[in-house]
Amino acid sequence: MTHTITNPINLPWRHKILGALIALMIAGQTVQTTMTLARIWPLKHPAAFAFAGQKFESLAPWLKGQAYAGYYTDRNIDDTRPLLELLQAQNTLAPLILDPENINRRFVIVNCADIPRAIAKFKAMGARPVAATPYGIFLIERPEFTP
Amino acid sequence: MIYIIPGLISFTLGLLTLKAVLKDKVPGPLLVFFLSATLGLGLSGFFTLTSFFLLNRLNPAFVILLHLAVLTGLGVVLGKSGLQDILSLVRAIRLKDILALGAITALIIPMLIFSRLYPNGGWDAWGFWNTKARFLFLGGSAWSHMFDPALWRVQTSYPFLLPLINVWFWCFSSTATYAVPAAMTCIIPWLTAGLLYSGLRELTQNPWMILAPLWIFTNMFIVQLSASQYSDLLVGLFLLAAMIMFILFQTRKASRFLLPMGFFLGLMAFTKVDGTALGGLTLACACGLIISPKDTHVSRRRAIAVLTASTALGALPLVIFITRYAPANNHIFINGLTSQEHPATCARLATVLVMLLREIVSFKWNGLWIGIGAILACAGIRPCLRPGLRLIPAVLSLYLILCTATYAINTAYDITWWLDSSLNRIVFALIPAAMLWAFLAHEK
Repeated sequence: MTHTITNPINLPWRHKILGALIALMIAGQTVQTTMTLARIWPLKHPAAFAFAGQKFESLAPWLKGQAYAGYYTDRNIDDTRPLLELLQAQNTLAPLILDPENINRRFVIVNCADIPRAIAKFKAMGARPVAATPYGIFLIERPEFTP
Repeated sequence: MIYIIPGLISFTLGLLTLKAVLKDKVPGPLLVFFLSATLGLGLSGFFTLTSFFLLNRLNPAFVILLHLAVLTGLGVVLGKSGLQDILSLVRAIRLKDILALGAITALIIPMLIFSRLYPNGGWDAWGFWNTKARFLFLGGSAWSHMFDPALWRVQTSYPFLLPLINVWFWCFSSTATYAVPAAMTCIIPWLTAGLLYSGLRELTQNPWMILAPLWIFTNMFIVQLSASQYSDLLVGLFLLAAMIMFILFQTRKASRFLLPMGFFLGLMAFTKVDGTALGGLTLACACGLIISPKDTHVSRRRAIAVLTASTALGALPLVIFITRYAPANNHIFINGLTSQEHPATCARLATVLVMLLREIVSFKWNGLWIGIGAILACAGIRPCLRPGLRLIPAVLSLYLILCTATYAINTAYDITWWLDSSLNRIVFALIPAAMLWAFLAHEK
């Protein structure tokens, strides 16, 4: 039977019970959601825009016109944090392709656990740094490199 | 504010297309409103893609002109009487509809707050979908670099309707601003909530059906998933739209409803791999139900032809993508049935089944799935499986079986990690359709 009645009093008892239970659930969820948002808003607000990809933004002008850049990190790229940084860097620098599997590129982004390790790496590669970010990320270039 | 223009264009496009397709069978104003917006978004993504396929780059002027040309064409096809019909539909809006719209709109407030806290969305948003959108918008003729094998971690073999919709909105600005994906992540759940309510209202005439979307979208975990900018939102929306169209086809005995249904299925298939599987299953099940003697009211051959043709049209981008662009991505699939190093085991299958069960009863859903199950149990088997509703349980059960098999057979990932990071999203996309089923089964 189709109900065209809008007054809940006229609804069958089964519908009344069901409606009351769902309404109770909605009220509980609304309180829970409001309390959660009220709790995280002041905590997250200053940090809400801490997007790891922003650490790579200042490198973008140096890489303009390049199709590829190598990406080197001394950490395991498949661990959560290094992978997060790679994907967020890729997001920020798109349409540039970051290649973590092949650093035989003219430009390579070196994102090591600390600065001395990064310096040691690009010295070992015989490359020169062309840009560095305040977060210890280097863009290195091998001008003589031919693919 | 500039983004209101593409929104209005998409909506008008959806509205005129729906009117042109359904003619005198258009449903009530609220359902038409939400269906038009859903269809319009999909069509806009479709038209944006034509720029890449035809011109090999994004040309915003071409995309906008294509929209305007199709709008003009539809206006001419519909003629004065058709446009007057649309105006009369607007005049048919009642106070109750406006109040319901207000309640549904209030649902997006927590999502707006959440998307402001996390403007870049969740992992898949910045990892895949928004990165693809940036390739499409900023890449020029190098847009197809997003399929480069070096980017396999960006899921290069996945279809990309959501990024295309974002790019359509970006066509009206010079920068790939994060405001668009952040706004879209509120608009899509809003459309889902609206479509669920208006569909239920259309089919039952019961205004208390407003409880269904309120129940879903006041849940904190669902708010969080909704604001994550994931493509699962679109899968859930298109699946719901397709289901409503199929129920209307069966109850109103008009194969016209299968035209938008098929198009929604095609669009869903181009949204993500899960959507492709779900679209294929829905098409197969719907064809099976149309063939089934008990369920048919109209010419079976004609109905199947209409549904298949419209799905093929909607899935055209997917076909072109697969045949011309999609790279093989061996990193994300290992056949556990043939692999010696990573074999599929019974323990893996058991883990999948246990985790699936655990997911459904998880506290984060606040008993949503248990509630849906209880409503269905109260309704009884016969109402749950009555002819108009059979498609939903058929698709949901087959899809869950398919997902279980995929998790068990594809051994490329650690199963616990994979289930932890993806199962909730698969289940999330099914909620609107499951809720539609439960409320309709209980109502009649």
